[in-house]
Amino acid sequence: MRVGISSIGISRFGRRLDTNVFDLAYEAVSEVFDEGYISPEDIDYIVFTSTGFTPESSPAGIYIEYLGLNPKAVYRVEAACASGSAGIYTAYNMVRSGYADNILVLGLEKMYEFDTPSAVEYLARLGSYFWEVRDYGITFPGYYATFMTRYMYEYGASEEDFCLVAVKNHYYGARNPKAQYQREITLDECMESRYIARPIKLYDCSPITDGSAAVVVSSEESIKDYRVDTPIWIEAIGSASMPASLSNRDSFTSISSAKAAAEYVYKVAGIDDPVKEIDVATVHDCFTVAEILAYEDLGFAEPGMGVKLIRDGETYVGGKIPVNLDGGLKAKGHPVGATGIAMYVEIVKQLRGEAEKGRQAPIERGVGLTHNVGGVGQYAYVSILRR
Amino acid sequence: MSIEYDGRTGKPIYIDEREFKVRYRSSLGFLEEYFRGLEEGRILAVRCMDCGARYYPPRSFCIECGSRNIRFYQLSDVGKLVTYTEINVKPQTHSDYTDYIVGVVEVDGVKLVGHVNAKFEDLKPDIDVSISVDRRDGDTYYRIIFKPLERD
Ligand SMILES: [Zn+2]
Repeated sequence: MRVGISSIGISRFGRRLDTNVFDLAYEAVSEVFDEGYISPEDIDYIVFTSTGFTPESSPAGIYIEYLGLNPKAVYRVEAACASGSAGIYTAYNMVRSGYADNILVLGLEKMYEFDTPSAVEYLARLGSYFWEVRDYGITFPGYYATFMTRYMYEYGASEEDFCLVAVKNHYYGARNPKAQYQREITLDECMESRYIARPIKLYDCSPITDGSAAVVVSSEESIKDYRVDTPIWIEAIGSASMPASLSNRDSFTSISSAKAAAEYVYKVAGIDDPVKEIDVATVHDCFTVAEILAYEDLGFAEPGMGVKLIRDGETYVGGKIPVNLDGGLKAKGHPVGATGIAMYVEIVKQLRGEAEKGRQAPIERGVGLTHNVGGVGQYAYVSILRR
Repeated sequence: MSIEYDGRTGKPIYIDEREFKVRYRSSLGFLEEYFRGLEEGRILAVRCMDCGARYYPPRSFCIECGSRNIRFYQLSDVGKLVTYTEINVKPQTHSDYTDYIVGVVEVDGVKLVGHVNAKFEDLKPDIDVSISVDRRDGDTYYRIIFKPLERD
């Protein structure tokens, strides 16, 4: 039995001081129901994904109460920045097993409710607190900076190479009305920005973001019953882990969990040449180096050649494989627990042909990919969606 | 309760002045020997007495062969810098320190995480570093320290 995405919804991302957290959740969910396919009463189950930027210790129940979804069952799924994909994965498996027909997966984070030092602390603790964060004060950008240092050394890449990713993603953020940063930047602006975790600079980083995103994962039968115009099918979801701690890593130039997840989905979906067979991808660019690593882990480029892909502009529309046409985490924003779902929303829009002018990829094969990494690699999800 | 208006956007925000503090008390169990070692200036890793696998951070059982026959051993005081970063924007709990460098160092078949005492510009991956233990001024926490070795 096939499983697909019947409805999507996403809030505007940004520093959303104009709305309270409950209505921020409603922004995504109301879009889902406004699509006109699935009504609240059709939902069998709700999966809520967030990492904890809410004052409640157990947010799931509180938010669905406000959304008017009681007495539907709900629980929270957490896998750091990959929480959204992990939530979709549990929904996908519930539908595939025949247990449910329509599951709402809702991701939410209102990170601006934290002051910045607290947010930096909270995000750092997505790493190995006991051995690395507590006594050595490494931060989340610090973890990724250890990759960037080693990558630059092994492959002779420069800080400019990574800034090219920021320039691309801002270019597309400027064309996405839901993005946090709807403005283009220059290479110089990025290069002149201050260090956050050297060699990572401010403009290499995804921002703190308020945002929500939601999808309904539905059975094939349900998608037919509701006459969904352009069903987008989940062809495969791959998932793997790797050590979070720096001490136990084999490599500082690859996220092995993402690589394993990609190999799995390519096998299941029968993809031999991802660059030729995939029309559009969203990858986890929490930092610019992460997008370069993603190119290589996903097989878009050979090891060490990811920087060449961005130098040659091959990940823009018109290039070999367009990546992050919604602005990515970098410019669209990164509300941690909602990000994996926002990636699905984007790929569904792209495959439906509903992306805004200037950021729609040509869809030839009808195949899209999402790549969502949690924490510092300890969770990774890669999905293949097909029209 | 107090409503504040955001300086940039003028939007109303409820400021909760109450602070919610957490102080973690982490049981050490098997790891007591490691932290005792640090206090005495020795950095300990573990070795599996059945298959020879080495581990840092220390663990109480071997994931290669399943043995629980694990012994601590002292690491040598010279290693190789694998990678590093300078932390410029610090987490709340480290916000009183000036910028510091976190490094990963390979030594005797394991990788350590510690602070690097050096200028960022003077570092390069794969250089040799000395390994020691110290405490920062006014600090009660012991930490692993790496320093680039002078080369002739
Ligand atoms: Zn063993």
